[in-house]
Amino acid sequence: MNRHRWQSWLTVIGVMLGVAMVVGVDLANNSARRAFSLSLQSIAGPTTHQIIGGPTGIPEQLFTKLRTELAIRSSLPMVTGPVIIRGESFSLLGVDPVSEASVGRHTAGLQYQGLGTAISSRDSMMLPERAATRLHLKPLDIFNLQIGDKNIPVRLAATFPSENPAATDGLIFADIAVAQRLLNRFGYLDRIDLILDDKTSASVRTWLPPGLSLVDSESRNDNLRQMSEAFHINLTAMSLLALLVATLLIYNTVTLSVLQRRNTLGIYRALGVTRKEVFFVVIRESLALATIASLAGLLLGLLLGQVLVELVTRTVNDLFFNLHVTAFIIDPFSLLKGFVVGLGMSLAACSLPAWEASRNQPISVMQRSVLERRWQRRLPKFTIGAIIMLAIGFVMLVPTHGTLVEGFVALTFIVLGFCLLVPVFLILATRSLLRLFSPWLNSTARIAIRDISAGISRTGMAVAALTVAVSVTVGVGVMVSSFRETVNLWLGQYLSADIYISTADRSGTGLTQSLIVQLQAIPGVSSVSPSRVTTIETQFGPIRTIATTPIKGTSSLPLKHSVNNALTLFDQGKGVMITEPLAYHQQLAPGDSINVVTNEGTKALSILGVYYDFTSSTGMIALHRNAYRQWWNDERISTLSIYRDADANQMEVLKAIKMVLKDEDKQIRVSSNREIREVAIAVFDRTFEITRVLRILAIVVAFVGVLSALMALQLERTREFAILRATGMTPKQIGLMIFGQTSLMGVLAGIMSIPLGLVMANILIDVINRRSFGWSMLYHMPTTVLVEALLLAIFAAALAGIYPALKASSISPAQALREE
Amino acid sequence: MKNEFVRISNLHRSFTEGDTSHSVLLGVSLSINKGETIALLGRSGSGKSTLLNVISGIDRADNGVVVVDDIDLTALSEHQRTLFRRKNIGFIYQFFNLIPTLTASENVALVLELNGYTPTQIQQKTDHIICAVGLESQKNKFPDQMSGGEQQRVAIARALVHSPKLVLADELTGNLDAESGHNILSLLQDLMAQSGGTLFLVTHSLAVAKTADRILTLDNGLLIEREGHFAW
Repeated sequence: MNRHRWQSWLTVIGVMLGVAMVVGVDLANNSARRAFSLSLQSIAGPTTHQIIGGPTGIPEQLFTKLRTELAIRSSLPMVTGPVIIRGESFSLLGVDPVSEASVGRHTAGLQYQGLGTAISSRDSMMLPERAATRLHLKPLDIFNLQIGDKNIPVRLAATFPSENPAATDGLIFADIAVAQRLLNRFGYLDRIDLILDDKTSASVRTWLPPGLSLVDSESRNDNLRQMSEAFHINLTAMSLLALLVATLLIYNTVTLSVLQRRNTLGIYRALGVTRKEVFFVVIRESLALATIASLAGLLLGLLLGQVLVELVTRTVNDLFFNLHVTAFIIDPFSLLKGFVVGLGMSLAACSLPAWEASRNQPISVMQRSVLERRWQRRLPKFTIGAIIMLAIGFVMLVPTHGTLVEGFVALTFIVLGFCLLVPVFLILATRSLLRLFSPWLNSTARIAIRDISAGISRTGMAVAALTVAVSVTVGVGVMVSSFRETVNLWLGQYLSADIYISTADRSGTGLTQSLIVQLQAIPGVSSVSPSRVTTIETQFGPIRTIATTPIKGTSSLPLKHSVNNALTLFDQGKGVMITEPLAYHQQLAPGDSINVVTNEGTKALSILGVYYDFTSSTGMIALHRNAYRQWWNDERISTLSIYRDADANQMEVLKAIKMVLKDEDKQIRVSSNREIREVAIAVFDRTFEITRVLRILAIVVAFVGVLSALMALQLERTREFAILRATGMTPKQIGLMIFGQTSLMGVLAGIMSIPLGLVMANILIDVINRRSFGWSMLYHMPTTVLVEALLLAIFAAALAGIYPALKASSISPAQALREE
Repeated sequence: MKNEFVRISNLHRSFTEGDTSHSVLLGVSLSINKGETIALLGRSGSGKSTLLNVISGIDRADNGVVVVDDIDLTALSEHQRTLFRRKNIGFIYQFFNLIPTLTASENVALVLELNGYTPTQIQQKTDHIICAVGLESQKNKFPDQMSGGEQQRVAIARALVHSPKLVLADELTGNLDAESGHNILSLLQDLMAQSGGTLFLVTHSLAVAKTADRILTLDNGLLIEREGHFAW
C-alpha cells in the first residue's frame, strides 16, 4: 500500500469522512438528548410526581390546600415560560425559595438557602455563572428579558456556580411571583412537583379537583423525549449511508492493492505461504489503514459534531420543544461506536478481496483479466442477489405500522440491491451505446466506452458509490420538495382567514369579546373567528389543542377521513377532530374516542375526523370553542382570524385593525395571511438545512470514492496508455479519452441515481416520514431536482476524472514500456 | 549517402535511478538505407529497446542526432514527434501490446483513425491488411480470445496498415514458439518487401538476425557491425 500512497490517502479521507459523519451526528444527537435530559433532571430533582393543570394552569390556592389539607410538605410550585435574553433562548423558572429550601431540592446546583433574599425584589433574576459570562452580565446589571414581543428590563441579582453547566445554561431563575407577573400567569401555577410514595399518590389523585391530574414525572419526561427521537434516528441513518459509500471505497482500494501485488502474493503462495496466511496479510494491512482513517474520522467527527449540534438544536427547537444546548458533550461511547463501525465496515469491505487473493493458484494470483472474468461470471449471481435484496426490502415496507428502524433496514436492502444491479446496468448500457452509435464512434471513443465494462470490478464500484450518493440528493430533494409543496398547499387551506391577531404568550390577555365587537364593526370585515390554542391532558399525555369557531361555509381543517356529518357534529360540540400524526401514532380513527381531562372530569370524546396538520409531529386535537369553553371554563382567546369582504381592500382593513389595536397591549400581534405563510416556509427551510449539510458530505465521500477508483483504473492502464502514445496518440487525446470516459460514468451514475432516488423519496415520504412523524405528503417531483442530480453526477465524475486524465496524459511511454 | 533513410550520430542516453546514473548508449552512430532490413543483437539490458525508442521518437536522447527521412527528431517537440511517429513509424512488440478492449480490426483501424483517414478508407485498408495477415475469420475477436501467434499478426497488421516508412520490431518472435515465430517473421518480411519500407529488428535470436540485410550488435553502449559468434 505504501507504493500507492495516493490510493491509501484517498481511502483514509473517504473512510475518515464516513466515520466523521457517523460520529459527528451521534455526538450532536447525544448532546441534544443529554442537554434535554439534564435540564429535565436538574429541574425535577428528586421529585416523583407532578400535578398538572388544564389549559388555564393550576390555581395557586391548590398549592396551599395541598399543604394544609393533605399535609404534603414535599411540594414545590413552579411557573415556567420561554424568554429571550440578548438573542438567546432561555427558560424562565419561577420558583418558591421557601418551599425549595424546605424540601432541600438542589435544582441545577442552585442552593435555595438565601435565595429568597437574592431574588426577593420584583425585578430580580439569577443566572448560572457560565451563562452570565457568556451574556457579558454581572450582578446588578440591568438587562432586557424578551417575552413575546415585549422587552422587560430586569436586574441580575446574583449568579450561581453550576454543578452541571450543560443542564443549567438555558435557565434563568426568578421568584415565582415575579415569574407569574412577567409571564401573565397571575394566580396560576404551571405545575406542582411532588415527592410521593404510592399510597400518598393514590390519595392525591382522588383528592384533586376535576381538570387537574397527577402524573408520574419519569413517564412524562419520557413522552417528551420520544418526541424528537425519530428525528435523531433519521440523522443517524443519513450518516450511515455516507459510511456505506466509504465502504465501497475501501473495497476498491484493497482490490487494487491485491492486484498490484499479484506477483508477490503468487510467489508467496509458490513458496508455501498458506491461503489463510495470505488472507490475513491483506486483512492486517487493510485494518491498519482503517484504524488510521477511523482515528482521523473521530477527530474530524468532533469538529463536525460541534457544527451539527447547532443545526440539530435549531431543528429540535423548531419542531419539538425549547432546547438550549451550549455544551457539546463528548460521549466516549459515541467515539467508540464510530471507531468500531469504521473498522467493522472496513473489515467487511476488505474481506472479499482478501478471500479472493487467498483462493487463487500460486503464480497466477489475481491477474487483472482473471478478476474481470470472475466478475463477468458473477453478474448473473449479482442480479439474483439484487432481486432477492430488493424483494426483502419491499416486503419489509408492506406493514403499515412497522417501526422506523425496520423502515431504514428495508431502505438499506433496497439500496444494496440496487448497488448490485449497477455492474449489470453498466455492461448493458455500454453495449447498447456501442451498438447504437457504432457508425459514429471512433476507436478512441470505443476504448473509452469498452473500458467501462472491461474494468467492471473497478468502474462498477465507483459508479455504484456515486449512484448511491447522488440518489440520496434526489431522494431527500424530492422528499423535501414534496413536503414543502404539501405544507404550502396545506397552509393555503389551513390559513383560510385574511388577517390573524394573536398574543405572543399563552395568556390571551387583550383579546376580548369587546375587541371582537370592535373589529367586526370595521368596514370590510365580514367576520371574526376567535380560537384558543392550549394544551390539554389526555390518556396519551398532554396534547396541544386548538378550540376553533369555524365560520359557516368554511372549514379550516383539511380533512383526511371523517365520519358522516362530521362538520355538523363538530359545530354541535359532539366530538373532536384529531391530526394525522396523532391518529397515526396512537392508531386512532374516526369513530374512536379519546379520553381528555376536563374541568368536569375525564370525558371520552368521539373522534369525528382526522385532518392534515404539519404544525406538530406529536399530534393535535381540534374542537369547537363552545364545547371547550363549556368543559374547561376558559374564555380566553389566543387568536382571532379575520375574514374580509371579497371587495374590501386588504391594506385598508389592516390599517383599520391596527388603529383599533393601538391602545391595546403591545403583545398583540397582527399578521397577514401572507406574512404567516412566509414565516412558516422560512422555518420549514431552516429545519431542513441539516439534511442539506449531510447530503453535501455524502457527495464528498462519493467524490473521493470515484476519484480513487478512477486513479486505480488509470494506474492499471498505464501500459495501455503507453501503447496508445507509441502508436501516435497525443497526450491531449489520451486526456480527453479519460475525461470522456469518466464523464460517461457520471452520466450513467446520474441516470441510475434517478430511479433509486425516486424509490428512496417514496420510501422517505410514505414510510420513514409517516413512521417518524405521521405526516402524509403529496408526491411532488420537481424536474430541477432530477436535472441537478444528473449534472451533479456528471460534474463529480468529470471533476474526479481531471487528475487521472492529467496523470495519464503525462506518462512517459518509453518509461512505461520499459517498466513492462 | 543518397539512399540514406535513418541517420544516427553520436547518440548518448543514460538513466538515473536514485543517486546512480546508468549509461546505456555511449555515442551510437548508424546509417540505414531505405528498404533495408537491420537486425540488432545484444545482451539483456544492453540498450536495444532504448535505441528503438529513441529512433521512433518515443524517448529522447541526452546527446546526438537522429534523422529519419530527412527530419531531425531531436529537434522536434514532444507533440511533433508524436505526429511524426503516428504517420511514419510502425511498432511491433514482443508482448503484442494490443488494446484489450478493441477487436482485432479495431486495433488495426485505430492507427488509421489517428492519421485522419476517412471511414471508407479505414474500412478498406483494415480489411485488406487483416486479409493479408490471414485473420479474416478472427477480425471481430478481442485479443484475449486469440492465440499468441494470432495476436502478433494483428500487431503486424496494426504496424503496417498505414504504410509507414519505418517499422520497428522489438523481439518480434520472443514470445512465440519456433514455428509460429518463423511464420510471423516470414509474414512480416513479405509484407515489408511489398511495401518497400525499412525494417529494424531487435532480437535475441541469431536465426532471426540472419534473415536481415545487416546485423548490428549493441555492446557496452556502442554499436558494432559484425558477424560471428555471440556469447548469449
